[in-house]
Amino acid sequence: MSTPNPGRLDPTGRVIMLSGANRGIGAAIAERLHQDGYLLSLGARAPESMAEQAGENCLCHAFDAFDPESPQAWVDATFAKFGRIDGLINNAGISEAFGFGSGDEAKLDRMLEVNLKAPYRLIRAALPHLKAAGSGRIVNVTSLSGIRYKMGSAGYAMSKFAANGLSSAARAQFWGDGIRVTAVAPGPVNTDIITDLGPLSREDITTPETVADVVAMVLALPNNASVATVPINCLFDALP
Amino acid sequence: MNVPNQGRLDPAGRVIMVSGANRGIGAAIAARLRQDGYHLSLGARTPDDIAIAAGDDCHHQAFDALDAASPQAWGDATAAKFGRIDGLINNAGIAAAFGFEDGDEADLDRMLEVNLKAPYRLIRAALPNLKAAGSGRIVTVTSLAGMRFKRGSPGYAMSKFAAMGLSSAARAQFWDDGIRVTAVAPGPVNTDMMPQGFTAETATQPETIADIVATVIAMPNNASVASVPINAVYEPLP
Repeated sequence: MSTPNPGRLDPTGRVIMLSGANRGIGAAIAERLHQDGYLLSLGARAPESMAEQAGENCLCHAFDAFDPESPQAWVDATFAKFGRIDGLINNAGISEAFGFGSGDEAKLDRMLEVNLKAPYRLIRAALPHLKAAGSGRIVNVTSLSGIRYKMGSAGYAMSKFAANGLSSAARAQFWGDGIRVTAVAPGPVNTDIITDLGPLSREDITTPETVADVVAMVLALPNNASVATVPINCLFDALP
Repeated sequence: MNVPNQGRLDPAGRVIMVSGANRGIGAAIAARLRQDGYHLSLGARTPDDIAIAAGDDCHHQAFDALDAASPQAWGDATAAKFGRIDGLINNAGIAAAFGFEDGDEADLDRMLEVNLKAPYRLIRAALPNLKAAGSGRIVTVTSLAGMRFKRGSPGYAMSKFAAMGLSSAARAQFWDDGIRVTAVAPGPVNTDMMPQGFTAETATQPETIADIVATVIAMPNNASVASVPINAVYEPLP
């Protein structure tokens, strides 16, 4: 028998939206949250690839981070099915090489669109429902590259720093509405989007399941235990 | 008599670019660096407003942060006049309201252009000369709003966080070229852009920002300061 734990929110009946749910970190988060008993609204560019998960407890919906109308449409469909939204996991993200040598700003703009603007638009669309929920949660999967640059694409870092700014602003502005906001900031994670591992091997780096466990943990923290950022290091860094 | 100080770079002969030099923090930086004896290349949308007269040791440039070609033109003009570039102060910045419940993405895009992309383009334009200099310096005036959101425009914070990312990346990537990169991050400053709730007396003075910039660009290569947050009011962090 389950003893209520006032130190942890009960997933029962709570509806969580998750972007980029079809693969990588998103797929791992979806699996973990499903196991925990949440109602899920999974967004991906090709929702049919997740069709086997769809059902009473799970909505699979199209979400295109490059389409400014897509967030509202997905939020509306989520609310229409479940009548509430308790959490939003801004997981979908992209990385492209962009640095001081190349200068192809189209790549920077794409990363700003997916890593900053789409999460902003999703927060904006979901906000009324998150406020109504009373214990709304927003988790932004940002990056250690959004806290300090160490290696890789400078433009990716710029976009992920901006995403941490988005998270910081949302955290401050919605505290009074009972919404808690966390930035989960991994270093390299073993998924398809990481191609240049440098001297590391896939066995050395963080797994998507671990990131999912961290997301599940912060999602269930009560309103009186807010964690602003969780940096996750697979290699030693003195900070963060 | 001037005793050489191994712990400080000599300004003599060093050429420093400063954006937004016609007013506010930029004008104060220009004035301080002028006193210190640097050669200056001062960029502003309206260069006629620049207080320091153009001459052998001071170049004026029409610099428009919204014009993608403007940074390269300014970098080229600076190198053509002086034959070197030793420092770049990315000072010019804008603020506009942009929030979660109302917000026109055109305002966000404009802040990203001026606060992130123009500094990026200026770094690219000055980079070859900064590398050749041996002790190149890049200072970006970001904001406390680029380190943590406290009040004001979320979109401004996003653009200033992004500028912190630019600074962090440049610091790492150009270290071995002898270039040192610092983000100077004030809260409210007593200029036209001073936020509500502060006065000329309670906000930080632009001259103070100028003093910090002048100090960091004179620090030698073995003393790098990545960021300087400047609080007008108490905060435990940063």
